[in-house]
Amino acid sequence: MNILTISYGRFYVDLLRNSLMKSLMTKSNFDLINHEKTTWWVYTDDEFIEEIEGRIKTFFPAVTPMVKPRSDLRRFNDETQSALVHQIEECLKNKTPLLFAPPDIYIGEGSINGLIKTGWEESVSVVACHLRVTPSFLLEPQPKDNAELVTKAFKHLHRSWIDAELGNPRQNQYGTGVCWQKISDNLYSTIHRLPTPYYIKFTKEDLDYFSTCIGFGNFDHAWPGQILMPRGRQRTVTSSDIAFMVEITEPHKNISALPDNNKNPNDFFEHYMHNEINKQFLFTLRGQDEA
Amino acid sequence: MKPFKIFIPVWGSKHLRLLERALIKSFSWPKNQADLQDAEWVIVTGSSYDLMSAGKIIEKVFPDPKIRMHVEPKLMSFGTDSGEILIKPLLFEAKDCIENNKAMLMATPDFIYGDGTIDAFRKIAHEPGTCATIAHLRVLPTILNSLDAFDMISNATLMDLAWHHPHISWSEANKRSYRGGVVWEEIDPSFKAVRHFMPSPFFYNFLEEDLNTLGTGYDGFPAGFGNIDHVWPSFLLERDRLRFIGSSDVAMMAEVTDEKANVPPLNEPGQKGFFRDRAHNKIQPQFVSIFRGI
Repeated sequence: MNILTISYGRFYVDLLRNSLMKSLMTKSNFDLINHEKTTWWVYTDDEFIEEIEGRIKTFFPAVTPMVKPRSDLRRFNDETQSALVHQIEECLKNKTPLLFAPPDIYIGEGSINGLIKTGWEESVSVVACHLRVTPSFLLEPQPKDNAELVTKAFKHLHRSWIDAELGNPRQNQYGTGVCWQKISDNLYSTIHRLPTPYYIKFTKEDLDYFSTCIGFGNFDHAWPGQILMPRGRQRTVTSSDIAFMVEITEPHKNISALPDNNKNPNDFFEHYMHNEINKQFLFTLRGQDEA
Repeated sequence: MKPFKIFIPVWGSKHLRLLERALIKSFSWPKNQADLQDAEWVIVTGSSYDLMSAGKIIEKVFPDPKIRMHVEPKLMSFGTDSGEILIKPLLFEAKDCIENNKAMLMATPDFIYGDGTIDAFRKIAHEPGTCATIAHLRVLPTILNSLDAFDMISNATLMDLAWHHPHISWSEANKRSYRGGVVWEEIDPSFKAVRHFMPSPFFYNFLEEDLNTLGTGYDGFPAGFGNIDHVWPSFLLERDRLRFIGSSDVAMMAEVTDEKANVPPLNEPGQKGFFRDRAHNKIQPQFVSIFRGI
């Protein structure tokens, strides 16, 4: 497996350690990641290369670290697009899947297993919904499983998710593509129009696509609807029990604007195939049973 | 929430026994029972005797139920295609739902509804025109003996029970997927990831257009009950009306099936995917359900 992480600046380098790496050190995740066949590609600023490489070697001794300067990413104007295209080439050459692992995510225990098992077929890409939480989440004791992760996440919901609740006067589905409701004590049902591809088995078509598209934003905004879903290659996780991630987001960032009065608040600003289809397949978040 | 009716096609002693031991048993569980208190019961049957019998079974759990009835004597005839008969009362009731702003729950007697499933359907399919769909599994009638012991049961326990009594279409699903339409993978002992090529809608908010869709024959066959899962979901999908629930904790159902009935043939060498290729057959398997046991 290849892992791709892009981590610039002190804040995100710290998150790489305190969120992503910490989550990958839980037992089941670690057993699947810490493998001689895993290569972890990290792009970062020059001053953090040694630090990150040292951490990977210390905490994931079997993994091959490939920590590179962001100055390597000059192929396209969009640096992340440059990184992705390079990864697609690597994955096609070595016949490996990619785990897309931004530094600011926390991957629930057992989720790597869930992604791999769900994406067992050739050429598929596993997409999953993640939930935004504030950095205060990192002060919580480490959740032992995804159910506990869901419960803890709801204690630290980011504003973008608070506003995404069905019936909230600031319901922001138009901008976020998200709308959730509580079903029972520990169960939530969520519409998510553009879940993120996390575990990907690329094809040559993907290389052509990302080499010619406008930027990395296509990764979740357009590619699933233009390539994955029409080709039958998407595999969507519909329950947090299979795989669940949270994204650490500063409270003042990613606040979605509300639509103009003449826009339907239940609509979404984009209408790719996957936006229209994903809306109809609910993602379930299951928290801990209440004692 | 919107009022709704329960559509129950049931005739013959075998299915009346299933009505009591499977469907109504599951309806007696606390959350389901609470949700069904004010529902209208639509019984479609073949004789007045069966109608009375069905009514008595329902009354044991729901005293003084509001019952609407359709007696179709042809259902009692051996060899009749019941699907072609059932579509007529279904369309009749669908029209009534549209005119009187009601929803409908499909409840054949061989279904065991996980507790809380009806509540989930009503919450998730709350927008006009939306219909709730899940992948359900088939179980052997031997499960009913175990079920008798429970006055209430969590979906996780029910799922565990179901996998102790799996019908061959599920225990050998991966070898029979081309016609069976199901593949599954064990994530760990408690979780199975399921891909279903043709799950059925069970909770409906009908629109006028459905009367035509459901009432039309396709592929050379006359209009029949089979339209519900073979044809209609593609129309729902294209019109943003489908609402699929992939977690058994939210909604689950098990269909009691005789050992030798509904057995899909083994896949032939080279057969991949599913034998049908309507829109929903292509989209649905890209969404992976999780069946959770204890």
